[in-house]
Amino acid sequence: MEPRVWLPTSLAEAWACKRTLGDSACYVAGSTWLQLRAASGDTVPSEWICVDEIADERDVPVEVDSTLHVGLRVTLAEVIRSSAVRRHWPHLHQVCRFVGAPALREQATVVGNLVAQGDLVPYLLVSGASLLSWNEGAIEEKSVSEWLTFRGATSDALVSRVKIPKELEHVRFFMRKVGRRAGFQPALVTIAASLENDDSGVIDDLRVAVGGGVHWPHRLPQVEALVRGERLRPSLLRELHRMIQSEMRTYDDAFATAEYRRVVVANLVTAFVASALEG
Amino acid sequence: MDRDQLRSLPTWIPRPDGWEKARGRMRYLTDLHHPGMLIGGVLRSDYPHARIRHIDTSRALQIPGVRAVLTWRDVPGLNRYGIVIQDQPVFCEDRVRYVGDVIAAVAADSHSSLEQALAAIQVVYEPLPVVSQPEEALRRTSVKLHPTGNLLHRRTFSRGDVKQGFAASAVVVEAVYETPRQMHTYMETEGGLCIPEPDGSLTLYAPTQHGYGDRAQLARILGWPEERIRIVSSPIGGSFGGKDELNVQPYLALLALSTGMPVKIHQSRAESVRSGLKRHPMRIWMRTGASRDGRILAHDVRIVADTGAYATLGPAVLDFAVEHATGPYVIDHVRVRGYSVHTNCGVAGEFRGFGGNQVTFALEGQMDRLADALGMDPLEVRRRNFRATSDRGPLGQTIAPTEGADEVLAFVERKRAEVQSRHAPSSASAYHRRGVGIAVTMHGGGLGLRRPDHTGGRVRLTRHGKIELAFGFEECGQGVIAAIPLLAAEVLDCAVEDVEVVLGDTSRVPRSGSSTASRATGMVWHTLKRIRPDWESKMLSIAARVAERRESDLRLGPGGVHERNAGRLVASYSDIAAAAGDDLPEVEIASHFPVTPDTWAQDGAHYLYSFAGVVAEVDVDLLTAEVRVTGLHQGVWAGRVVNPMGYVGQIEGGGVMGLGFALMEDALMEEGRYVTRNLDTYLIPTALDVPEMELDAIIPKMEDDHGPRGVGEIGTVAVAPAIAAAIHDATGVWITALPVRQDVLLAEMAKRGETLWRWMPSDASKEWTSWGRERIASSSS
Repeated sequence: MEPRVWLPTSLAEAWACKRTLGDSACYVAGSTWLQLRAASGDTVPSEWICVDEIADERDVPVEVDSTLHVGLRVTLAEVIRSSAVRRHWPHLHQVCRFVGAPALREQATVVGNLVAQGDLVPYLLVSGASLLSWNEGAIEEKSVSEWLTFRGATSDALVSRVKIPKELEHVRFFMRKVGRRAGFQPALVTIAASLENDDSGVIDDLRVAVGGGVHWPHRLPQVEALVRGERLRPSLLRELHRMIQSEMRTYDDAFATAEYRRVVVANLVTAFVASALEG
Repeated sequence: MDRDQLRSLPTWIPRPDGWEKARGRMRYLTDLHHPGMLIGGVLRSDYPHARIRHIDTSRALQIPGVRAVLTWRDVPGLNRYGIVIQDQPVFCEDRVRYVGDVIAAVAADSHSSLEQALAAIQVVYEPLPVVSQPEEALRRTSVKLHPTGNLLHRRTFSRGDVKQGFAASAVVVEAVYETPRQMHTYMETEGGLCIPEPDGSLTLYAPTQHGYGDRAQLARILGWPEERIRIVSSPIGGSFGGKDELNVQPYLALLALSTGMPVKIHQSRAESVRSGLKRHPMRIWMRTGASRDGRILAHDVRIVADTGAYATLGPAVLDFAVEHATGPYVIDHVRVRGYSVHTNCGVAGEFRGFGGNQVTFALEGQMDRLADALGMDPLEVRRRNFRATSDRGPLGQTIAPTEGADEVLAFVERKRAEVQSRHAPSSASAYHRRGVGIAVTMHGGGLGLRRPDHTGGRVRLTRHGKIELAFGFEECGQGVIAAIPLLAAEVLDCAVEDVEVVLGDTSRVPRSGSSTASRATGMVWHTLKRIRPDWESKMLSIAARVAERRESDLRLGPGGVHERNAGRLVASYSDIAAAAGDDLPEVEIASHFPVTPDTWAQDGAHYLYSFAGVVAEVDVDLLTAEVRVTGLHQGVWAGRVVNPMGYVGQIEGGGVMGLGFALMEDALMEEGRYVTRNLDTYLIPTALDVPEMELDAIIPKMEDDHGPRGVGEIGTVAVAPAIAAAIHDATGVWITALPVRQDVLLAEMAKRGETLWRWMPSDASKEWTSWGRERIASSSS
């Protein structure tokens, strides 16, 4: 069945529309995720509240006070094209290219990927990104992590912007999407990690987030706490490898076992930590 | 000849349909529209296996815009189809056997009315137990899917005494190999347009590999004479075997007939996945014994093929697998037992390679395991058992003598050495390991002994002075449309520009059999060779009148007829056409694909074979077990090259399809339902997965009487075993199931002690360990 498309011109109007139509409606930006679901035979909402006409929203990412503001209409392709992103957010640049294929990235948006819990989310979690959303007549700001935790309770909220802090030069990042072919595919698992250490090799901060596929994207706080303030030693790496597997929440599906996903994340993150501290 | 040499040939010409296809401007048959046409669609089964208790279409018929709702009661002729065995219902009466089974068809004014009507058809099912495993289907206690049981076909072959062979063997290797339910994934999904003509006939525009075959099947369903149906079947947006059998054509015809209006159906990808043919998943057990010096003494094989709900060409696919179970190796004691078994898992049928890909994966895996057990070079084991030029074929039948086996092995030896010399230990990362693997194969062309492998064609001069060549097989993307003018120029001595090709329209072409089994190019050559004498005589006789010369002084040439000695053009083809008036020269012949003279041989035994040798290079990410094919090189012996660009395209395209079969493609099913319902989860290789590919087209030193062999399949056949061998080379893990699953590979590597702790850079690991100790020491002091 063809969906009915609504074209509100403000955040308030879009929100009101959603409130009225309820669960039969959803917000739509690039529509790539919805179309994929529909083509796979899933039931998708019949009322599409399109954000294309919403005024005061930019189509390109904007740098404001060392923070990248990505509005709800900004496509992945625009982020990839941005010279500011290439300069100061090189890992965001990298993860945007994890998603889909070039033609699809011209349509798909950053906010859409966040809402669909796509491959960008692990990066947004480790980078400390926050988001603005319109709900009950007001703009709220939450960290991405907090929003993920409480999003079920505010299902009408319209995410209008993602704010991503500048990637600091002394922080090492690791991004990886593991799949079944070289590109344009659903992830078996997507990983983001960042590491800060002092000159003496003491780990100040490790952040690890897991997502992709149908994972509920999440950080691994116990893993992060394990190494904080510690110096690297073989037994710690072994403990890190073990704890990643025990803390991460994952799943079996037709394409890979949960065990595989656990070991792969543990391998990649442990190798990243070891290599980062080596050199 | 490598790719550069092929490119430099004068016959390297762009294919006539290439530019339009590359720009996405080709009008396929499913792009056709007709004013006032209706939109058709079908209702498929909700269950993989169920009894139908009741079908009620009354509500659907009341929906505005709905013009017809048809069920089995509306089929005037035979409510069954199938190329060889007609066991597949057009519409199911009382039972469904797979999720693609059709219960009703609807024609409506719009997509919206069509969808509403399909949703309004009420079907009451009584679910039946689902038979999802072939081995389970063979048990006596299993539910029977057909009155004859679940065993569609059994084929055995034996020679010597395997017991004796194993007793004499110094080493014996044994493994079970499993292959996936690969999907053809043609670009153009099934569909077409059917128009009822004023004279009471039907014209059906629908892609197929065999227009005449479809016509015969539709005539049976409609209860009509074949001549009342015209099939227009080219161009086709890919097929690879998948459109050889009927798909939606019966519904197009029945709906058009019932409404008296043009009807179009075009399946979505999801519906194509649900209903379309797939490659037979096979479970192949092999036990192979050899002497200490590497001579194979015994080879015992059991093949179980999951043929799904209906027959289509399942029996022939099994026959092919049984025939190719020994490949190019000469083995005294052989036993092959093959079973093609019905299940509720879709329908498996014809697919590029036709059973050869599955059995070659197993056979070549055995060769590598034997080499390992003997401590021998895998190439040497193969060499010691290879067939000689005049040896008999795998079923003991006489075959056309061929040096192909030795030639491709020489290629493999050369290329492997070259690749290995390039493989300096990688410094890129401690967590990557590279491997190189080889495989060879021998692949029969044509349908084989006692199969209806007819061919033929027609040449005529048009009023405008063009040489029109008409054949009944199809252009399915393989490029025969480019090969035909080149062969005509060679055999009929004309210019490529003199030729017009007509394919894919039963009202305009003679019967030539189907585009299948790597036969089209060879068949064009054979047909033209046989046509040539009559054609020459007819043309020269008219030219002699036009030019007032003796026929014996003339010869055929580019642009027209030339003086035999001086070479000057004396009568252009237009001049000849003008002089001929209404009696334009025309020659048509009917023929048969060459078969073995040994009439005692098994059904389907082949006479002409092509060969391939593959060298694969892989890079394995040890942390994730992701496998990247970095090089895929094929040496192909298939007679001479007719259309070099087409040849390269077939081998490279086939190579990529083989790569998909090896690493990612599998239409997964659970309890008879597809888990991979669309191309978001059923993955095929993208451009990013395509490795560096080199090709050596090995040209026979002496051309025999059988001409070019066709390369439609050979480029797919030995790719997977070469990749599997390369993975073994990199990781030590033997691959037994395709596609290679990363989780399985990682777990197998772990079993071998291959874990992160072993791979941490050996130097760095030591340095790091001492660095760590120093740090610990310094912090504690």
